[in-house]
Amino acid sequence: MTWENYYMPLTTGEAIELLVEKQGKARIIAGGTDLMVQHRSDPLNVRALIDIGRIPGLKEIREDSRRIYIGASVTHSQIVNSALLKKKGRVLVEAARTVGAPQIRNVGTVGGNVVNAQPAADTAIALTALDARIHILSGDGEFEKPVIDTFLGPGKSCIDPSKELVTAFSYSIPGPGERSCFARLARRESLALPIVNLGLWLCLEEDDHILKDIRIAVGPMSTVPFRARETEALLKGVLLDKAVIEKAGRSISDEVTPRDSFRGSADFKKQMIGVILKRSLESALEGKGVDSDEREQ
Amino acid sequence: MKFSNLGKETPILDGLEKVTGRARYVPDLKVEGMLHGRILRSPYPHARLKKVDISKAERISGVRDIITGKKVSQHKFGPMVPDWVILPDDKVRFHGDEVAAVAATSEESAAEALSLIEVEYEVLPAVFDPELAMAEEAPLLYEEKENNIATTFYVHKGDVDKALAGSEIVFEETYQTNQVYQAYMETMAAVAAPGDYERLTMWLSTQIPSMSRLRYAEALEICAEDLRIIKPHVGGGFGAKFEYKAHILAAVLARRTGSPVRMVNNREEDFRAGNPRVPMKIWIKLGLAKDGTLLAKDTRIIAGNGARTVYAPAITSTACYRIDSLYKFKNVRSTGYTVYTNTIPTSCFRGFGNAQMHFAMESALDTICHQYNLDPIKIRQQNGVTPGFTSIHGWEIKSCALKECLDKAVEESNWYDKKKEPAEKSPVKKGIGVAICNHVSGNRPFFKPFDGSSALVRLTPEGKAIVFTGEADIGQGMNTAFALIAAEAVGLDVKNVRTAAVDTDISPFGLGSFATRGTTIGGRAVYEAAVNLKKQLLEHLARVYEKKIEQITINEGQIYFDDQEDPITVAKAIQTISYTLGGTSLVGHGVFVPETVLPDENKYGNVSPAYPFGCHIAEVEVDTETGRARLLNYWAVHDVGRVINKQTLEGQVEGGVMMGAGWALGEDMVVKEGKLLNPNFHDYCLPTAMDTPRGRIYSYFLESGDPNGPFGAKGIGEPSLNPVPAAIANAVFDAVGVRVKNLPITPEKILEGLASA
Repeated sequence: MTWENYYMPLTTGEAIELLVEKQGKARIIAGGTDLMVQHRSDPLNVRALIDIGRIPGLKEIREDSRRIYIGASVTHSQIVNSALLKKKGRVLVEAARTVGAPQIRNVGTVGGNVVNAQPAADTAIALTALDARIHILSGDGEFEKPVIDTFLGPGKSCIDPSKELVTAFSYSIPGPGERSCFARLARRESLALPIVNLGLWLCLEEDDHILKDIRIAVGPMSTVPFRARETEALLKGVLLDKAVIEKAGRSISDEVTPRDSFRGSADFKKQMIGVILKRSLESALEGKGVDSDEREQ
Repeated sequence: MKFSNLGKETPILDGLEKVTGRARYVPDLKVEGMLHGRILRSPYPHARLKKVDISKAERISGVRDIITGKKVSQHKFGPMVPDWVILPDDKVRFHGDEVAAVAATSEESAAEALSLIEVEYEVLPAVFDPELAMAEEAPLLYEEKENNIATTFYVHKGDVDKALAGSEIVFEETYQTNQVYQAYMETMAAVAAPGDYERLTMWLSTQIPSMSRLRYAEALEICAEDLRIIKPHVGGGFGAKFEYKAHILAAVLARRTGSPVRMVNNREEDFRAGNPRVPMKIWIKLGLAKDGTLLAKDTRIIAGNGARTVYAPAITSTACYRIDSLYKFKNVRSTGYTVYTNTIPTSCFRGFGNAQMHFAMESALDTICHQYNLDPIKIRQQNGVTPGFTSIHGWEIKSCALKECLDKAVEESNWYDKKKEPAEKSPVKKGIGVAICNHVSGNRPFFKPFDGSSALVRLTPEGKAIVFTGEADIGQGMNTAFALIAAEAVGLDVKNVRTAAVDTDISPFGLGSFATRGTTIGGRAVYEAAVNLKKQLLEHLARVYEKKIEQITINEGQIYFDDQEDPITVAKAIQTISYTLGGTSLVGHGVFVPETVLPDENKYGNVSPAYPFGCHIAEVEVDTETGRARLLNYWAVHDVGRVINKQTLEGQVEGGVMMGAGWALGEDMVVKEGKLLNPNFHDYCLPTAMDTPRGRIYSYFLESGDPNGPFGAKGIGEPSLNPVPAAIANAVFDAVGVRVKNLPITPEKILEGLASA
């Protein structure tokens, strides 16, 4: 172990004070499910770790009149079991459920999943589909930005855990006609990184299948979580029928630029992203994945 | 027959200590003054060692010894071919090959020392594919091994060419099986400690305590009697835990430093330098009469040996000819080449080559049935061996319920109804496939001097019995099976019987856990020892209680005299007897030497005392858009001779089916330029509990009562896996009409097949 101190602050203010005091020689740790593995092969060059697991506010899932807030150290298991999110954040619940195994979901946090910045991080894909914003605290104060803007490259986030603390994610409470869902393919049913994954959010005109708006987030299709904007544009304002769905599947296969890996060749991933988009749209059309209060619990 | 202890669901006797974490495995051992050993492994698949400089590494505090090829004897040895040295001083032959070994007072010091050993490598051309390695221009791993061929196996019986010429159906195909990892929970491990009388004690995670003792004595150039092997609990082996380089390096370092040395693979090095499955390319040609009668089989196998020989040659020969005793063949020919490549040395893995050939043979039969409109059940019943049959290689099939296994599997799975169901309209299609299997329960040629086993059963003055065996329980439940056999044969309650850990200073010699031989051969020796103990017990009872032997019955720990109302307990009686014998325990001694023979030069001769059989039916669903195949239900019916412990049998079958399913549907050691790309459980995808069938695995056991096995029992370890890849491949074909001939059956291959259909 390289660090000398391990801090467990009780407020975000204390955490930031520690970061400022250590001048870049300390870093934030949440669940540690990524960090400790990385540390084993590539030791962290820090003097202190600041564990944010004891800060009550960071473990909350709540809503106000306009937005839903998910604290940065909310675990995947908390998301999976959240009655609020089951109702108003289906894509996130479904994404969190696919991460790792129960032991990992009990410890790993949504904040860690986003800051770790893997191109197919399941909750990052879901938050991107929800057009979520990230709330960050630093010595200079608080600011927020779209989650998608934090991803710089594989494993590279614009958030500096030696200077900044993610406090929460937020997104608009879904209104009428809004639905979301998550899909992925992997080499096995559990404990596997995705070959491809997809977060879908859409808003249908009332009483018909015309798409008012849509967001499609996919991974690992680029160096960062990727919004398939060309395919989104193709679908916006269009009546969602079988032919359109087929076309959307072909469009996204053409739009993405995955890489070959032993989890799957680029061509295979292109083909598969088309299949899961098609299936997600079909399920949205059948009324599955309905987000807002119109859905019976 | 009515049994007191057999045929029930008996939890393994050491289950509680295992699930509570109290059971101690080799990596848990802490010996006073123990050093930590680590191995420097080659980062190149083939390279000349120009210089190995340990001067910086030696200066690390806590480092007690560093060995390189220059510092150790260069004599050659090996389990089958003498191509091993303790450490090489000339070149390394695979990415992961041992270059140097360190012993230090902490793991951290050892790791730091490893990073400071400076090696100058001259990278040499390497070859990774066994077929390419046989080419004239291929680089040689060993100068003296022409075309990189380690060994060649050839057998020909009858007249294959003539039989093929006379066959109405001739089918020819090539299949490939890939390299997979055994993935036992406990990695390879050893602790070696110098002891009194200049002896060395080794605690090993091993399947072969007695045999490794002989081999390591040879490696260390010492007398085997000066080596004491102790095998505590072992966390799985599946064939991998035979002779292993790291064990020897621990012993060398312990002898040099005079301190105990612990050598435990981390998971990555276990992947990179374990003993994975022998990959094979199998060409097969079958000749049949129009009615489906098998007339001829011709095969040619190219098998990957890796960079040095462990047991691949024996595995190749098994692939060449063991399946010939599953069917009533009259003409067979087989050639098998075991070929060196600059890859991980390969070895035993549940199925021992027979599993690879089952994939080829059972896939081929399925295709033939489809092409010529033959019934895949009937063709197997029509050609399968039957009780009393002697196979073309002289294998004597005494007990055999193969036909009954097929009948039971067909009935339980509703095979014929399912075959009639129309195809699904959705993109997800269902399919069902069958495969049968044979195996051995003991393999006479594996250890040239003999096959057989001996055991002791000791009845203590407290009325408890302890079984001493040299056979190795590695988690499969053999110790519990032995306790049940001894309890049944003597008339004890199994709660009062246990099997001692193997310690070569105390236990009889036992060849070990391989060839599905434990229950049959080891168990028979335990049975004989228990019978011998009972005979002694009866004689002493007659003497002490002044009865005739015929008046005495022993059952479930109670002794009944025919002229006495109330029984007495064995515990009480043995105490009384023991006091008349100077306090001694009664010890029964049992030996079983099966009437098997070493095959002659044309590979003729009965190699095993008993042959287990089975039939598997797999039901799958295949998603035609994603290419993914999933198990829905699985029916496994096995002829086990006699059920000793139903619970561990089910465990073996469920484990074997899932291990086979992992292999069939995705497990793969991905190697690029000799480097393993997925040496961890994150990227090497074993099936998880979530990947078991959506329905379930149904297991059934038929009792054919073998004359050689204890109470008629035959083995289950390997047959539980042998037919799995073929049954699944056949089910996938039934679902979507895609025949995958090279394992694993990945989504990409299924989609490719669908696209080209």
